Amino acid sequence: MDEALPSRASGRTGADGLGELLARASLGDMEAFEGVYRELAGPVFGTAARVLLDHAQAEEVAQEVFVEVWRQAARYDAAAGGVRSWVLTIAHRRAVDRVRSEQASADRTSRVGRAEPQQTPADEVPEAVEHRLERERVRRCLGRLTGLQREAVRLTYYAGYTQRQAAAALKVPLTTVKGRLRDGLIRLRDCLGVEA
Amino acid sequence: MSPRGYDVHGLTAAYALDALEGDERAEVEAHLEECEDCRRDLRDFRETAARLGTAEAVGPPEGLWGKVKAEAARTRQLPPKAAEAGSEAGTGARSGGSASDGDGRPSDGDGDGGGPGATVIPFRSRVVRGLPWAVAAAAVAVAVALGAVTVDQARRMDDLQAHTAEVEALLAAPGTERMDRPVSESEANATVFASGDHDTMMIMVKGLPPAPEGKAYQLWYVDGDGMRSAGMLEEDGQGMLTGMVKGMSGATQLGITMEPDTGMPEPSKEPMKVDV
Repeated sequence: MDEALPSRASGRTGADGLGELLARASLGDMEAFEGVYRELAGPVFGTAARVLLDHAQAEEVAQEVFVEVWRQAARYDAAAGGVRSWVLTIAHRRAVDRVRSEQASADRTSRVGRAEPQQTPADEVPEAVEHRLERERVRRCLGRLTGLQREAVRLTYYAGYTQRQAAAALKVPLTTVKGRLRDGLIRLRDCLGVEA
Repeated sequence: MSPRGYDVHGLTAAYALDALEGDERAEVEAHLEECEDCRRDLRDFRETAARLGTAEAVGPPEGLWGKVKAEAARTRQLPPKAAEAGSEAGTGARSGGSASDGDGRPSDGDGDGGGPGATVIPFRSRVVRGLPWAVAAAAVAVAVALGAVTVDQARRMDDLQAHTAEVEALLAAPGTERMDRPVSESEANATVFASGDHDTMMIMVKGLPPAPEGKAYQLWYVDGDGMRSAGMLEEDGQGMLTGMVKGMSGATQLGITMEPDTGMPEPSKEPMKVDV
C-alpha cells in the first residue's frame, strides 16, 4: 500500500492544495484566497447556520470568519492541523460565541430543542454531493454513539451549549457530561477515520 | 501548572467543541502549552469537529464572496508570528473580539524554527499513518465524481445513494487496501481501493485526455485468458475517471481503452494497463 496523498487522486482542492492556496493568500494573493473561500464557504456557512439557526447571522459570521482567515493566514500553523480544521475551528468558535452573547433569548432555546443534525436542508448543487456523503457518514457515526454521548455532542457542538449547560439540560452531573463528551468524540474520531 | 492539572487534561474534548466557559478555556490553553499529548488530542478532536462541520455544509449565500473580498481588500494581513520563545499562538496581538481566536493553539516545538517558514510546512510532512484517513478523502473524491455524473445524466438520487452505499461499504471494510499505480502507455495515474479479497475494487484515474464526444473510457479485466469488459469509467468533468469493479476472480490487471460510449464487447486495441 502506497502512501501517496489522497488529495492527488481527488482531482480537486485537497489538503495540500488548500495549504498552498492559504500560503499564497497570506502573501496577499486574492485569487488564491478566493480558492480557499470556494472550498470552505459551504462548510463555514453551514456550520454557522447550524449553530445560529439564522441565515442572516450565519452569513455575517461566515463573512467575519473569512476576513479573519485572510488577516491571519500567515499565522496558520500546519503542525496544529489542516487548513479546513483551522478555518472551521474559527467558524465554530465565532458562531458559538455569538450564540452565548445572545443567550438570554428564550426564543432561540426553543428552536434548539428541535434541531436534529439530519434536518439540515438538503443542498442540491453538484459540488455539494461530497458534503452529502460526509453528512451521511457523520450521521452514521453519530448513530453509533450512546444516547448520552450523542446528546452531549449535539448540545455542545451543534447548539453551542457549554458543558455545564449541557449537564443541566440533560439533568446529569457535570463530570458525566465531561466523560461522555470525551468518549463520544473519541468514538466519532475513530468512526470517521480521522488521522490528523 | 494548574493545581487542577489532571482535570484540565480531560477538558481537551470539550475545548475542541467550544463547550467551555472563558476561564476554563484559558486554563486549557495554558495547559496545552505544556502537554504534548493534549495537543495531539486537540488536533484529532478538531479534525473530528471539522468533519461534523463539513457535514453541515450548505451553499453560501450569493454575493457573500463579494462582501468578503471587499472587506479583505481593506484588511491588513498580520505578518507571520515572530519566533519568540513562549509567545502565545492564538491570543496575543489581537484586538479584543474573543471570537477571533479560533487558532488558539500553541505552536508545536518543531514548528517555530523561523517566521515565514512556518506557513508553508507541507502537509505531506505529516505522516499518513493508516488507511482510514485516506479512505475518507477518497470517499469525497468518489462522491465528487458521482456528483458530476448524476447531474450530467440526470440520474436519480436513489441511484446515487445506492452507489454511494456501495462505495462506502468498500471504503469502510477493514481489509480494504489502497494502491497508487501508474497507467501504462500514458502519463496517467490510478488510485485503486481493493477489498480484502481483491474481488471488489474502485479505481480512480487522473491524467488521461478527455474522451471526445461519443467516446468514453472502458475498463477491462485482464487475466491469462484474455479480457472481459468491466464497465465504463465515469468522468467527473474535472478530468477524473472513476469505476467500480466486481468479480475480479483472479484478474491481476485492469485495462483501459477508449471506445464508443456505449461500450464494446472486446477492446478495439491493446489497453493501457494498471497492475492490481
